[in-house]
Amino acid sequence: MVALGAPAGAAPPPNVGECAAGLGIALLQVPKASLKDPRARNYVIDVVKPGATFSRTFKVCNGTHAPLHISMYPDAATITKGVFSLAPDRGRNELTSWISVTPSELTVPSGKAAVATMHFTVPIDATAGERYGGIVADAPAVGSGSVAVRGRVGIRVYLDVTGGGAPKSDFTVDSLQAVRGADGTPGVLALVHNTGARALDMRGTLQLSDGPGGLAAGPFDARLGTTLKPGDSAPVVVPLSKAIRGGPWHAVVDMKSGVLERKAEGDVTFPDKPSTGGPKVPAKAVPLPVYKDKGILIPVAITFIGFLSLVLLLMALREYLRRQRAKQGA
Amino acid sequence: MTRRTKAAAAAALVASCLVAGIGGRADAAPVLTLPSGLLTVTPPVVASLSTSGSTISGSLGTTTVIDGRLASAGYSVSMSTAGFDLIGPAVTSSPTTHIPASAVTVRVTSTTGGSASTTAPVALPSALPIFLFTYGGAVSTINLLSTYTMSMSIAVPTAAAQGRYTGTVTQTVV
Repeated sequence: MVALGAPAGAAPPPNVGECAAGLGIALLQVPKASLKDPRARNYVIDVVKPGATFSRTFKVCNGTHAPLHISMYPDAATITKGVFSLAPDRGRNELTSWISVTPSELTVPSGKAAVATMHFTVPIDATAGERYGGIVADAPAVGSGSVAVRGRVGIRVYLDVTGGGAPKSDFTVDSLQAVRGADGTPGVLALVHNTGARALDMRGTLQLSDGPGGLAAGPFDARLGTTLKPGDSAPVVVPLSKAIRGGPWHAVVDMKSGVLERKAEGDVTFPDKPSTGGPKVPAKAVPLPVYKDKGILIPVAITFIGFLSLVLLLMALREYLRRQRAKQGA
Repeated sequence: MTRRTKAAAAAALVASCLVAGIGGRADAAPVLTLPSGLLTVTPPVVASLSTSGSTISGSLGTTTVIDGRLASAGYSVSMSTAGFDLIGPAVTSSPTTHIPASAVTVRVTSTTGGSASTTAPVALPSALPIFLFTYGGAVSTINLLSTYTMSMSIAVPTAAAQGRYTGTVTQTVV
């Protein structure tokens, strides 16, 4: 089921000291090479070789009104049906055996933050591929009744081991489908297929044009949160305004994961009845300008740099020969 | 700069490019300290349950999540429990003093500030998240606040000894 409604938010509870209310966690370090990648700001998404070691600092924040004993540890994760999720409790997988956290426990005063470090030690015999996990901050359960509720909050880790160059990330938008939710909110489901070798965290927008009476609308933001592992397909939901009706409309989706971007288009017609969907229409890829297509940009850049290097070498050689001839002439 | 030094500089540039390997990547990549903002969870303090026949059900209270990350990405919430154990004396004699996680279901009953991917009851422990919490837009807005309320239902096994049980429900936000 896809719930399309998006109720309005409420005012945030006041901060406690330097922390937002509750138990918080934040990554503190970003690789220089990934500064422009929004995924790298929130997650560990490094690509490493077997035998690599590295570390990242992170912050835990106690936004409660009492000192909090916080445990920090790696946890296994899976990506299933387009959703990234951690194991229920200290799950183990290959990746978690490569991670340690120091310190592993801390008592943090109310309203204060503390810094810890996650250390990665990739075995020299690690096989190529992407692994999933998380670094969790875990506080004791609260409540005095029969049922206590414990909260954990984590930072995602997508660690890719490669023996050669950086693995390729890519995806296609295979189809578009106009739907109407139970509350009457229309939406478009863009079926995204991860054709690369790394997981994707989808975001994007949808633009409608050539609607009834020549109407246009958008851009509308896609729902966040859909995560696809290599080979997976899942719909990315774009909720629209209830004013959008009928059709056909020309829909153009602009989907992104990190710095990777793909556009696709198709004609959709919105059903009138709630909880129904129109036909899935094949999406046609829309070429991106070369400067926006990272898949093309890298080979183009390498070719350009190679050409420039050759020119510089020839210039240096020419200068050398000229000097030699001048010496001989003298 | 003389023509000779220009040529030497050009050659050095070419050499450095060749040595570094264009697009090459060190294992220990240099990092910058650049806080991304906090992802924060406040679990409920009080769970309110009542018994009706062989079923215990009620509200797990309201959880608040503040996503203060600079590049918000939505998040998933998963729930788990190790089950419930008898504490204190049993009212009836029975060897069964543990209610397993498989007898527990939870469901999202209300949300604000975003949307849950499902409101259907989900059995615990679940390999899948209870829901995927997503925002309707405003991706660049920081400190996105959302709250959700969950209810829980426990189908008490008929063989379970009567008495007072206790247990912990864990919710994970990532």
